[in-house]
Amino acid sequence: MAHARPTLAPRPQQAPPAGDADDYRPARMQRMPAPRPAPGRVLARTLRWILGLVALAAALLGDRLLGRASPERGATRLVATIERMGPVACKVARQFGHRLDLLSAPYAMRLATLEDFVPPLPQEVVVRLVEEATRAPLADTFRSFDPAPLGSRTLRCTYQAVLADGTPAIVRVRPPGMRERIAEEIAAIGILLALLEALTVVRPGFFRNLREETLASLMEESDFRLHARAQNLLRKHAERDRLGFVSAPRAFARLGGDAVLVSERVDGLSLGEVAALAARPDGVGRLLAMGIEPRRVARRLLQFAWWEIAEALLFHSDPSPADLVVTRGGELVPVHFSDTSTTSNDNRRRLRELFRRLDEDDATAATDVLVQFVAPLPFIDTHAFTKRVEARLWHQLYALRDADAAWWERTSAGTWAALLDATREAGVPVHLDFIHLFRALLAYETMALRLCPTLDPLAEYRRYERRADARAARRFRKDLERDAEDMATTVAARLAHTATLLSRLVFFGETLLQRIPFTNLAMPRKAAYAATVVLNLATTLASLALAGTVGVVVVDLVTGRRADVSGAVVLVATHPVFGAVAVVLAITALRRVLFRLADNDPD
Amino acid sequence: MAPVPIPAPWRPPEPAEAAFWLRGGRWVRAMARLARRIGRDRARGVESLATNAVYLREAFEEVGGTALKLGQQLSIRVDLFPWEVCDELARLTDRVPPFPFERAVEAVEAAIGGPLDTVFADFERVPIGSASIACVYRARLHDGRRVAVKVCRPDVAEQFACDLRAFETATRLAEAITAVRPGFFAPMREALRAMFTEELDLRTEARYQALYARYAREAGLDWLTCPGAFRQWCTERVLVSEFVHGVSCATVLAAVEKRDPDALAAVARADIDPELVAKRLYYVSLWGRLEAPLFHGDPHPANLIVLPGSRLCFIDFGACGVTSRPRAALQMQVVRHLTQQEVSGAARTAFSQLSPLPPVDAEALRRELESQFWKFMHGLEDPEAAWFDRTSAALWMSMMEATRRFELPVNLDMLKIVRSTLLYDTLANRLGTAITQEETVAYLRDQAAREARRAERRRRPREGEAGGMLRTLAEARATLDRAARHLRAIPAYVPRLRAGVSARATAARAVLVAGLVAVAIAGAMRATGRTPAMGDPAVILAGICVACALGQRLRFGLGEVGGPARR
Repeated sequence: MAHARPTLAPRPQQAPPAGDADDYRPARMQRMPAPRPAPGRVLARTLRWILGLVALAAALLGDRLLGRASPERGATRLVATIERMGPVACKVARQFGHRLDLLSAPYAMRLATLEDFVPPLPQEVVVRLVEEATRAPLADTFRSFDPAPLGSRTLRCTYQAVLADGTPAIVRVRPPGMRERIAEEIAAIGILLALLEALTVVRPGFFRNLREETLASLMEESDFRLHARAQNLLRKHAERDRLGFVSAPRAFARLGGDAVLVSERVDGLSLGEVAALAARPDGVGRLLAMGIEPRRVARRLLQFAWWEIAEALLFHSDPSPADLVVTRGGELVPVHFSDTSTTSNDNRRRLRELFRRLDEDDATAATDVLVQFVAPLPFIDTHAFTKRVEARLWHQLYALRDADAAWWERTSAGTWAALLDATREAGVPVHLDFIHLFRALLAYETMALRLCPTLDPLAEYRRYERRADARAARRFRKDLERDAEDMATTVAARLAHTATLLSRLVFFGETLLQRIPFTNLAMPRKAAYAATVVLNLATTLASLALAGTVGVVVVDLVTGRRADVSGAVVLVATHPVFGAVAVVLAITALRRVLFRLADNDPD
Repeated sequence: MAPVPIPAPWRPPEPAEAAFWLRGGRWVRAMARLARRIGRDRARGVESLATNAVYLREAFEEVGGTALKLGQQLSIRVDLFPWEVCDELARLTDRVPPFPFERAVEAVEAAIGGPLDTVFADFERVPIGSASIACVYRARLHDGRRVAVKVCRPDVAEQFACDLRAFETATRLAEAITAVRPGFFAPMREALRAMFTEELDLRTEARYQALYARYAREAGLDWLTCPGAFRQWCTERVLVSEFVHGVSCATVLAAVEKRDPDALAAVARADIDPELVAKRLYYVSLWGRLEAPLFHGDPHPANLIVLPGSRLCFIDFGACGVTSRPRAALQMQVVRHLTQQEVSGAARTAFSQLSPLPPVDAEALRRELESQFWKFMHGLEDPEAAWFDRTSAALWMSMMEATRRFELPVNLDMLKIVRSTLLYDTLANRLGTAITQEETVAYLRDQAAREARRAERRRRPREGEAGGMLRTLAEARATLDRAARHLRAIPAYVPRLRAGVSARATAARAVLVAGLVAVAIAGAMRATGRTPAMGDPAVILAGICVACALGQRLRFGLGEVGGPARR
């Protein structure tokens, strides 16, 4: 810095603007990972389960010895055992009851009736939870809040309230600590199931994914933000499709959190109450006075079910009559959104095709669609499998067409049973989204047909499809209108794209020809690797032994002792240090080989 | 004509041994402290991933300097580390006290080839930004234009090299003792080295700046720009570029998030509409990922200056990414499907993006992806969803979790896309509430128009068109000829493994040597009048010698045949 620097003049510094990058931190996302269960408590629960199951096994054995064994009796005993294990166990077992692919029907149906009532939460806990979620004192949010719960279950306690602006509301609160207890319960049951598989009581891999899937679905159920979202989505889409007879209560997402859900209260009768009234001699008159016509409600129920499954973004996978409210005037409002599910667009298309083909009295063609639900099939006799399903499906079709058939024969239960019995026998895996789909459909059909046993589901489906077509046409027109102005550019862009692709096809052909027509397979490569690693290990050990021997001999010579080569070899080979090194090297080599064997080679 | 030497590409220097050990010592100390803290928590039974991640971040801060940058780079490896760790590492602020000004002047004078005042009318002594790699100074040219001069730290290359070597040593050690699978860290080592080589050479940055501005101009995005670089004064250590007058996006973000009326008014006075900025950011995200040959890989709010009229100006092009064309086409499909609510289609397209798949349960993977896409769709459609449910962040995150569970290889380009999309979407959604599928539809419309325009431009020289067509035909004929030749030549492709051949030759040679050695030993014994026996020490020694020789020969000949495939 010898020469003068007129350039280096001090200049006033510009003050950094407020809120500079210094205080920028990426905001955190809210995630709710499943809690990690405490090992001690899991162990305690496992022991309790083992004791309970041993007693159950003894009782079942007794039944068998006395010749009284039947699936229904077994299911009753199982349910009694689970009820003794407490409400959390009931909740988890109820979830297991959804798995019609694993359990036979009597067991699944009994498990699905398990109730998980818990004693109500202390008032101050409820107030604290609600205030935490709304981030304001209770009095600021609510004009009144009834501390007596409407219902109290493991994952939700329900309260009535009136919002500050006078809107009647329902507040659901998740009791604290429940997620942890559920995780513990599932971990304990998971250990039991693993034990059953290890002892080969059931086929190893039979319960594969069951634990994770149950945990995932219960954890989703415990996140009330997802309920609020489902509620708002259904509402939005019912409005978009101008259904008119369906709505969902508004969820106030800003007032709730993952443990609290505040939503509009809907006045009306629950579907269960409607059905009970309709069954009484004077009930229909009273319903009509309220503007509720049972037949119309039943038809709307079917329309709603198909719309929800095939057109909305999500559907109720476990609808129950208690969770559906029929308002004055006969509007359907589902009020509970804990069990929602989605299904792929492929399944939706399959469902449509299935109903169409049944309506064309073609059970053979319908069977093809039905089997598609469980595709891809493993290596089984596909022909025999399909034939088996088809035979049952014909009977289902006859029942659908028989005007005097009992109501339960005209639900789709027979259709699904035809498929599931075949899959269970052939060991074909059934995927969860399909199970959700048919369970939902079946539940809605059951409700509708019980309310109005003379309904013809296929005729109703035709009506539904006409309306769905109109809706699809409207959506398509809207899309077209939106895109009309850019149609020319879009077409031009597509054409240009196609031309580029064509010229590349030639190049691709060229590249294809340059490929060497054989590839190295992974297994020989892995075998070669294992062999070389073992060889290298032997070499290293031999080199070490040699070096050691030479060292000992040199030391002997230097210290003037007689050099004993064979003694030196024995000394080195039996020396504990050499042994230790050999063991370490051998373990490392073995682990290398094991890692390599576990590699996923691209071919 | 005299040959002009073409300079070799710049490479970071090898560190001095002493410097490496000093730096390595700091790393060891920090890591030991990290291990102690985690161990203490574990003993108390309060260990959690979140606190461990905080300890890890603090360990990087303790080492300091380029370790901060290293930590930030590791944060993009969402495929290797759990999300909590990546999220925490991304919080490392890259802020280091500036280096002596005289050193900066030396570097700048070397770059401009003369004293400072030949180019600059004035040059501020205090840097406006000081990070682990470089400091940025403000200056004015003689014609009055304001410039920003970025000068690399004098010791940064060496420090980086030390850190890199320390990292490589540690990971190699971990692989050697098979704590992790051998080769587990190999792609990361390679990627880090490449990243540093690129980031330390400011000429690359100057080039990216020029290209980015050009691509934005060609796409007709007149609201997107970046400062022009004065390439004549740029070296690998000095970058002189225009100084942009605007408001840092961090300021706008702070104003929006704090809902501070004064700050918002100031932002409005500067002719900036946060909603419009958000929409444009989202547009840039799609444009960079789906269309442009280059995207800004680190859209941190401090790297984005908002100019009057809500125009966007990106600075700091140290990390840029590319999207391969087929992947861009697939992503375009995903985006299209999502705008049409065809969720299964979107999931299936995303699934095909993962090919070639290693042997995994592909059906399970596809279903997993599909369920993630449904959840994402629910978030997009929910009018009351929080910002993080409306970004693709949640989707990427769960996809990366799936790839980790299925042990799928993820390449670095993909990771860069994931990270930058995360940042773009997050920033856009935090700035504005108006990001909906409509924005995507608007982008797709523009994109189609641009593509049509490009096609139109290409078609214009009519006389060339026929020529091009004939050429394609000729090439097709040549391809067919070659195909025929290949068909005839197939018998000549006798599968042979070259390694196998050389191994056999080596083995033969080794056996020959062993035979010679054995003959020599036997001769020597005969000469000394002893009969060789199996238990004889000399014979055992000879055996070991032969085993060594044979083994070593084979080892050098073969190495480790069939080792893990390089990714």
